[in-house]
Amino acid sequence: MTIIRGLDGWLKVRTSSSGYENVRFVSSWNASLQTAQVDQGPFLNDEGKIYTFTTSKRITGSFDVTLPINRTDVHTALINAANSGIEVGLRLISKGGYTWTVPSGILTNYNVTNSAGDAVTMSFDFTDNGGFTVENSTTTSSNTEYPA
Amino acid sequence: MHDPVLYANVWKIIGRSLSGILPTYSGRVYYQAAPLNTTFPILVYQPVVNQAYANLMLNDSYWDGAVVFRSVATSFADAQELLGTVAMYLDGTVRTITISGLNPYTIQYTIRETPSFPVERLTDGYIYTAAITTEAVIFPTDY
Repeated sequence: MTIIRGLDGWLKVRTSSSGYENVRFVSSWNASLQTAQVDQGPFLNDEGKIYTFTTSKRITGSFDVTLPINRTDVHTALINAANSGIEVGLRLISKGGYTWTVPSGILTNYNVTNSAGDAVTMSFDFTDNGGFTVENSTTTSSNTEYPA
Repeated sequence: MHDPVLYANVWKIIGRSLSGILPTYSGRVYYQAAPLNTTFPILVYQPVVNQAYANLMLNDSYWDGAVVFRSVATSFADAQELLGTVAMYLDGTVRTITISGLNPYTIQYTIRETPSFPVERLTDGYIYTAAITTEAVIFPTDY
């Protein structure tokens, strides 16, 4: 067994009816699962026990991008999607590990930083809109592999 | 695209990116050191030790390092004037470098510092160095 190298991961987005496209110059992504629970009980003649079950789940996260000179169509599409509120598909991929697919994501927030001594960077926050899936990723190195 | 070959060819890419400067120094642009008994002026480019990084981008490659350009001439005024041409050529301009057998790479320089070098004495006079330190960024142009 060996470990998964973080830098072998990547991020893909789908901003139109076409397929998922690779986002270049991504330095990191993260995703966080939030769930909500409801407690039930106590019940008569049950020794005062409380029962808990999960009622909902949601995934949120963010990713950081350094902007290249002359832009790319994918970066432009991300900014437009965030500004207009349209849904985007997101795939967070760790090569040889897992792929989180958010087929209908909402970009809830972005920050852009332009500093004279550094590159121009953006960070985007997202949340799922109607669910997500987790699948095994393949170990081949390609920008077009599935999850494609 | 993650491209480890980039890191093995950084100085080849940097050298090729300087082709537009060659006429300024009559072709005398050298990596690290000039040949013995060279004619002046010359331009020498060299790395700054421990100031180069393979930047961590997901599934991508991105080299970021400091490169010193030393303009050496028989007068300080000439060294500076020629270095001005170099600075204008380098600063901010984005170039695509195509080398046979390699993927195309994009390179961009940003001027960061102006280091000083001592005057050197030769058997037949003195030579003067004007220098700039640049930050060079190289990444695969496309894939």
